Amino acid sequence: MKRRVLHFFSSHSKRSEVHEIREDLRSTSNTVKKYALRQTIASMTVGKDMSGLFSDVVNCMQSNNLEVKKLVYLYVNQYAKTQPDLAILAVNTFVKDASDYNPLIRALAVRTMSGIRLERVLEYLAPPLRAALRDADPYVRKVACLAVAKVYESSPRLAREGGFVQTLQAMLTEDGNPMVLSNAVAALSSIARRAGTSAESQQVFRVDRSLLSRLLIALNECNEWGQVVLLEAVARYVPGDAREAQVILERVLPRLQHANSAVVLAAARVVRNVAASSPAVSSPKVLPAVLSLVSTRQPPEVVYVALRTLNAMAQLDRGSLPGHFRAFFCDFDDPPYLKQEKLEMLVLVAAAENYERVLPELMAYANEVDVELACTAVRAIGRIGLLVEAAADACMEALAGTVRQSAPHLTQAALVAVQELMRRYPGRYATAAAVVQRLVAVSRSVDADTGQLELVPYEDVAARAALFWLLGECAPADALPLLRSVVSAGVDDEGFLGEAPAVQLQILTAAAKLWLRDAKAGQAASPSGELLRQALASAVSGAEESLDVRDRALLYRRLWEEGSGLEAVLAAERPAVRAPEALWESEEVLRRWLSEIGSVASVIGLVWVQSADSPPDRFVGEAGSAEELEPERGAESAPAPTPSGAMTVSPPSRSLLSADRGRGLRITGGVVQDAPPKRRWALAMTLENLNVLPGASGFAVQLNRNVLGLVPAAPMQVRPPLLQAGDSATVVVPLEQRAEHADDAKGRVLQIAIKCSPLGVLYFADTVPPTLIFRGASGAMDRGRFLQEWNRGGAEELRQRLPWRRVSSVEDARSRLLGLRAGDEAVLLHVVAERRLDGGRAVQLFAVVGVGMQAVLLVELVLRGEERVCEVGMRGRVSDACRRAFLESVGDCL
Amino acid sequence: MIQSLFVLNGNGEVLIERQCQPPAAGAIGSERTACRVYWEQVVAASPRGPGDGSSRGGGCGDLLWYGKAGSVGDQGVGAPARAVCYVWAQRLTFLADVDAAMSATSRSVMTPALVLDFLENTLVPLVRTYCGGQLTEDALRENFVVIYELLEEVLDNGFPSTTELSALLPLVPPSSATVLGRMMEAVTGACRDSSSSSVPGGAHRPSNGGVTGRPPHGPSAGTFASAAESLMAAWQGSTATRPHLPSSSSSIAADAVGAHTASPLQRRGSAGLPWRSPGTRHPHQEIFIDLVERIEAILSGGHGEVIRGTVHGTIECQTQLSGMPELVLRLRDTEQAVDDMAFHRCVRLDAVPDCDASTVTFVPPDGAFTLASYTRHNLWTPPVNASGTARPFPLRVTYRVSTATESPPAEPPSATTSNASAVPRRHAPPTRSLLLHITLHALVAGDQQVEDVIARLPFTTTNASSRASAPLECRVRASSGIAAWDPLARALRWSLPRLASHTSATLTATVSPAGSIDAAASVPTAPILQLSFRIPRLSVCGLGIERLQVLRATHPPYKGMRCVTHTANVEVRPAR
Repeated sequence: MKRRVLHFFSSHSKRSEVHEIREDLRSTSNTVKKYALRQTIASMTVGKDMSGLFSDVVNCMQSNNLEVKKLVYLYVNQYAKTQPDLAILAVNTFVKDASDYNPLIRALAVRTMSGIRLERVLEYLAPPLRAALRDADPYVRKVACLAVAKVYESSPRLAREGGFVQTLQAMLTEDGNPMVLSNAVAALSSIARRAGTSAESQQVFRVDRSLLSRLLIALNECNEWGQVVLLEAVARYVPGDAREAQVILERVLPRLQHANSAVVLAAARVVRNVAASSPAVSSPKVLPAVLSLVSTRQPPEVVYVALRTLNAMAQLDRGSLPGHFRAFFCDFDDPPYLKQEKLEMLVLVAAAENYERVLPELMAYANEVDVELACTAVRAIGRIGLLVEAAADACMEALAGTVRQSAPHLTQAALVAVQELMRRYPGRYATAAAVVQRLVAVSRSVDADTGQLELVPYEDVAARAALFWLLGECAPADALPLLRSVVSAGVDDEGFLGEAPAVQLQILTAAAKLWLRDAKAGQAASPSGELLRQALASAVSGAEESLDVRDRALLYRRLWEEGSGLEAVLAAERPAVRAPEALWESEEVLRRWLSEIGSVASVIGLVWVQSADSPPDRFVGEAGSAEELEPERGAESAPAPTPSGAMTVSPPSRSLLSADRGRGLRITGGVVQDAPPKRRWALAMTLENLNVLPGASGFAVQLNRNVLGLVPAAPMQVRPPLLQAGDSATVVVPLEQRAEHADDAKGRVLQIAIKCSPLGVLYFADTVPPTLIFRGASGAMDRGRFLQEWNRGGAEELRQRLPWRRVSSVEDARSRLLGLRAGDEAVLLHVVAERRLDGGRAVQLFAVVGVGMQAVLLVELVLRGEERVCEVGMRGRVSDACRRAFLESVGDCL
Repeated sequence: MIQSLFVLNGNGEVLIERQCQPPAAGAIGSERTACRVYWEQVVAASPRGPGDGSSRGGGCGDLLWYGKAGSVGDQGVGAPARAVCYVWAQRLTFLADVDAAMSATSRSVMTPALVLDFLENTLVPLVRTYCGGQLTEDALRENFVVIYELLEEVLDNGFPSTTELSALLPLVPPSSATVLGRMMEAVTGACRDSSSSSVPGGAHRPSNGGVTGRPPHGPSAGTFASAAESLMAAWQGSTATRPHLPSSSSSIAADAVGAHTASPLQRRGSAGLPWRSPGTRHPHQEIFIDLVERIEAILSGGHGEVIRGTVHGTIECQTQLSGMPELVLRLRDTEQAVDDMAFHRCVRLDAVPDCDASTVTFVPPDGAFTLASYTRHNLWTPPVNASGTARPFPLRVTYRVSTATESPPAEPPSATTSNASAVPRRHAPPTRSLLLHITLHALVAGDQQVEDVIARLPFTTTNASSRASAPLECRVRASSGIAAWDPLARALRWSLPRLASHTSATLTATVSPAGSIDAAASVPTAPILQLSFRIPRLSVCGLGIERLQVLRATHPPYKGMRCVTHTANVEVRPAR
């Protein structure tokens, strides 16, 4: 009952409200009008439809009261899109207001009109906008600059034909007001961003020497956001000589100490780029400036950006940061992700001169209640030991200090770290008995029923494997009963057979080592012999899942029976594991990140690919999700036709998988075609194991459906099969094309999955070079079929005008086009029809272009001699990336 | 690039919506998708909505978009990635939909993180100021027209534009209902609801080259702007949740006066100094210079050594001078005291060839501004690879923690004891408790003292286990000051109004689990000690003002100079 009353009340009130407002809007009193307008806009914000009042509101525009005008403009802005016909009504008033004597109103009118973004309205905007760009008042000019950017977004044609872009370019050199300058720069950068190709954007906005000096002078006069805009523009400029670099630095260096983090980062980028371009100039102040952002005064997100930048700096130049290690000590209030990032930094800056102060700090974190942080801290101690040889002893001690019975998570992390340290420095810790004793002591417990020793069931496989490795290597007092407790436990899900293969391998080795030790001491018939026999027996008979375990067990058994063989294998001198590189990313990638300090790509750690011939449209490394790929159909099951003759191709240098994303495995390379006449496809890659321990093995590769229909023709064979940490291998996987594997929608992206142990499946992607996308052979088509395809419904057309740059005449252009070659050296354009237009001054060509495995792109090319342009029309079920690639190759050729 | 900006109330309803840019071709979702994404996140993470101060993660790039202010986004191959940046201000949410892919591809420095910085440190203070100092849903509804106009100026085409209050005031007059509006009305006679229909600024037509006679309200506008700045700074300070420099406001205040030559209503004189009008007149000539230093430090509780310590300092000026005076400020010990120094733009940098120079020449803006800011690292810690004694921290702190098994206490309650549990348990089993012992010792010169010392021990843990939320009881005894246990905040707070030079104060406390049966098993974790204090007349860096000369002064001004040291964030780790 109550609800119905309320409902009635609200609808009643709404109707009367609109009615009342309309009455008020027609009032002559400004105060009444203003109140009514406020009510209208209030209802609008709540979501009520007030579009019915449009004409009444527009009438109010005649008022000369600024307040009323502003309210009307707010309203019109909101409803112009839904009421385009009525919006035209308002245009006259807009145009009139644009020549008002009050600069505020002039600016308001231009801003509102440009914000409406209806082409019909924008056409009326052209004359007032042109006037506003030359207005005497800088505020109006400033607003007009940004209005041009808005017009360009809605209608690039209008902005270009109206000459607005050129006017903006002229203002860069002519306008004396720094704020107008910074806004013109902002507008042009925004236009350049929207421009399709990089050449076009260069054409729109290019920073030359004279503009540079203007930008630098204006820098001091702008507010912080203006400074950010100007600094970003300055960053586009590459100084020609050392003197010029010095001039830039003089102006920009003071910005490094600004209170605004955006200014600091933009200035850091400029200084860094300038210093990188001319070796004579050093940039000593970038580091402290970015460091100063690592402070509790900044929002944590900004601190994160700063830490990521410092991370790249520290990787590139390990000598620069050790003195600043205190900046990376965690505050109590830091959010967890900052703490993790700071620990990463502590590992990077640790050096011989500061580890004594860093390690106690890390040990303090190991005592934190935050389990994840504590584990990271323990791991960090181990990593410092691996990187800094002088710190290794101290790290061992620190690791022993963190281990507690009550904190199994720490013991697990410490086990792995100690094992890595011992392998890194073989021989040095042969008697690290104290540490190992302690680790083993906290890893065992006494069974309450049987009184037997058993191991604490750690969850982490790596920790368990490390524990058994230590038992075998150091043979502490309890090693034998502990191993026996595992080996002789008969139940399926416990004991030896319940372990992961990696752990089983270590158990076998540990048992063999124990036996060897006893045998050396002359106790051939000791309990360790029984242990080894049991372990081998269960491994040979039970470990069906892992052939590796069975093979090792068989090998050990054979060697054991033989007599001395086991000793030769197990007690052999082993080389030290190489230190993992501190450099996680290739130097080139790091340098690129630093050249883009503060950008999203450098913070998240994406590699931005912009080769000269590909438009910037995607990131490498952001491959599709797991569902898209079918890795289970691995290369083991792929048919393996023997390739006729080994392929000799070298992998390209494209970065496919960063070490960060590959968890220590870095992959560069990509898809290639070998030299003519064979033209076989292959995936050539360089795999670098930066720190996958104990080594990556069991590689297999699979490709997702792609435009070229490529599938692996043979299994991936990595030499050597076990890729040790620090090693790299080049692998060439021959590929073949299969029609059923072709997917035209994929564009130039080739999604790749690589499986290996212990990393599992890694996904990444390659971008096929545009030259390889097009297929020259078998692209021909007869005229009738062409017409049928061309006119087929649903095949949307894409049109673009490309200006001529190199060619002078229609004939020249035509012969160049027909001379275009595809990746396989065959002709790219298969001309179906050709005719002359405009009395021979233009040529129209219809042609077919083969794309990928089986798709075709139908193109119409009109070469206009008078306008010196080439109009390209494209149809066909081909992805945009391929179309763009075609446009680029045509554009490059003309 | 900010694509759209919203202000939401505590129920996720849109109060203010501003679309700055049309969505890029192929963008995901509609115009309000960001709000939906955000609200789903809020509902999923905490049913209470914004304002409860809990932290939580976001979707895209879970590291960057995390915490009180975070972002969520959906990112796919080839599709433009979006980031939703939001900050909470009281019960309101300020939310910006950022085209992250755009800022990635264009290599713009305007990353989501910096958009957050903009929202938190620029936009929210401005909106608060225009709402009359309070950020509530009602205040926003009351002033929404002004807010819309404000957004139009602040955020043109998706990029921050005019953000200085002094430049905004003539463009967007505040509503007369607010304090700011009444001030503006009183000072300039111009406000939006003054019934005269004349358009502000309409009185003077812009002539060619902008040669106007006197600005319509030149000097008074300057005075007003500085008054408004201080008002804004006061609101800032009173509502700031995180201990931080008011430099967030000083990024506004620093360029406060007349940063925009282009403002049609505040056209400055032709002297070429955009920050000062030559027509400025004041009845009293005054200049005040404050050296304010803030300490960020981590101490170890054992002997009070400094693990990490940084000092951030600012030189704050407040000038009321007529004409165009030139000031020469000579600083003492700049080279030894300071690592790097940044100056306000009024400082003639050509006169300061290097940061090491200790003489600064400038023509000051009118009103309050930050002349310089500086940093000093490693003040109390010896540099790596160099032997040498470090300076002592002004307050020596020892903070020791031990666990003890004890029977219920038999000691008489003292005046400063406060029990969380009303009824002391007589025959309880022995409980394991935490013994805290804190000593503070002031190491300042004889004529100085440490003031407003507040030590806080929060017994909250990062992982929400059941143990962490079990009730605690606390017995505390302090040698001086007031110590109290706050059972709701689970924190111990000890405040001392002052600590004279070379005197000490101690506090002992016993914290044990209250009530429950299994109390014996669980002992709370030793908390961190958060310390704040103030030392007047001390510059910890050792910086000092040697001399201040005023050239071209109409009358000799009154000069006031002082320094003060605050804490920004000082924490002490317990020693066992």
